[in-house]
Amino acid sequence: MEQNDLFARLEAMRKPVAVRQRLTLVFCVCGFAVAFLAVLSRMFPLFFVGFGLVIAGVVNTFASAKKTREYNNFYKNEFVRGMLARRIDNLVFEPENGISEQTVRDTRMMSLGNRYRSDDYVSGSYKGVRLEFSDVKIEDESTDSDGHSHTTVYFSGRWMIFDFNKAFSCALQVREKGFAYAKKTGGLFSSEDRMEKIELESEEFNRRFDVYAVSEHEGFYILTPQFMQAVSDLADITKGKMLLCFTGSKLHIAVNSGRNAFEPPVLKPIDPVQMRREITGELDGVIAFIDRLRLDRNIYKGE
Amino acid sequence: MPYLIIPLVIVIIAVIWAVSVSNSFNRDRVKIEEARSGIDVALTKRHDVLTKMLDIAKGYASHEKETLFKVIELRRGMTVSEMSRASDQMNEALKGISVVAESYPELRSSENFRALQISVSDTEEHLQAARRLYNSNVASYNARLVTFPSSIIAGMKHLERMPLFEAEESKRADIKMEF
Repeated sequence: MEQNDLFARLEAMRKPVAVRQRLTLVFCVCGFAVAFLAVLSRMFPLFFVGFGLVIAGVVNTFASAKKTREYNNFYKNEFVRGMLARRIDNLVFEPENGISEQTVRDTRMMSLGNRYRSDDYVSGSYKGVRLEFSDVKIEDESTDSDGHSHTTVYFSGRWMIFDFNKAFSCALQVREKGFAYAKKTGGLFSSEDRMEKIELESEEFNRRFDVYAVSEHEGFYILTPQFMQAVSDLADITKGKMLLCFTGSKLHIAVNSGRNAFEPPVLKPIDPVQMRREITGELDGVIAFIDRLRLDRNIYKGE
Repeated sequence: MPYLIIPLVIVIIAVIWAVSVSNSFNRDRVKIEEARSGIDVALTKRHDVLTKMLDIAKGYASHEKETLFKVIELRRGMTVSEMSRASDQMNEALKGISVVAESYPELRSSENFRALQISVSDTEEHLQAARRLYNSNVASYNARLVTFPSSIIAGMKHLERMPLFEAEESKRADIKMEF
């Protein structure tokens, strides 16, 4: 599809979705305002008017779900896919799928609540390094004794998996301080190899990150001074706390950014330059890990 | 009698503290020994890989000077400075092999030789890791020897500083630029 036709089609699909979203917003805001005024002025019949407006907003959202989904899918399959294919070799892009819960579970380094969602799955290779990434959201919904439900977000952001260029024999975890809900392998009654906290020779790195390893030697083998500096530099430019899990010859990197990538603009008009910039920025955020950590430097492992 | 309780409690606390510090010094020494044996293992592995590379290189350059193929001796129970010297010798041997490989393209393109070159890089990384771990443990131990109040216990036990695994001499020397 020609680029101009593509953007024209996107804009044509965006407009009704935007109208619907604005309508939902207006219904809900007005509805709450009317209900609030009704309570203040004790005009209880007005309360039902406000309630009705909120319901209309919700119904409107459901009614526009199909159009919204079509717009999202078209944006991702026609525009995002093309942008990804320019930088990633052997691209597989599946907007409806994501990294599986079992894959994250198998790292044994992340708490998994009782709700797991992931989408926008990408796999391929960059500079010969195999990579996969997707948006992941991990939540835990619980009900207290009063019957109120609470949702705790354990993780919301990007989960990336790269082939690592060194062979390592046991698990290692580098956790940026403040990254909550990561966990170590090997508890008190567990048969798993126990991870212990290790201190590297860089005070600055130790202040910023907690490192856990089954073997101290493996920790020092993987975390060379250059690697530690690269991790610190990446933490400086990445929005969100990071978790690095070295397990099963792979490097998992989780960035708790709270953001959902590759989402189309809805309330703002289609701006090709801005859209390209956003997708490029998202992709740069992933390949920066390959470049800065020099994962393409394959001098420690054979083919 | 009641006036003896406070001094008694202080003495008990002091004894517990002294025992705890003494035990921690013993644990540190064990960790340092473990780290040292890690260097041993890494050196042995590097020696094995280099020996294999030397054997392959000999097949291509049998008329090269004998000194290039001087066998490096490794033995059990080497001191830290002896291990450092052995590491230096291995670096020299590797340089020699690289020089030979430059002169013999068929050696460079040999699959076995290339696999061993990758192996050598990996063993070098393991050796650096073992060295850094050893030095990190020794630096921490040596600092505690001289820091009050643990220095009191160190003095009573006549504990001495442990040597670091020094950087190779060749890496410390200034690089000569020749044009």
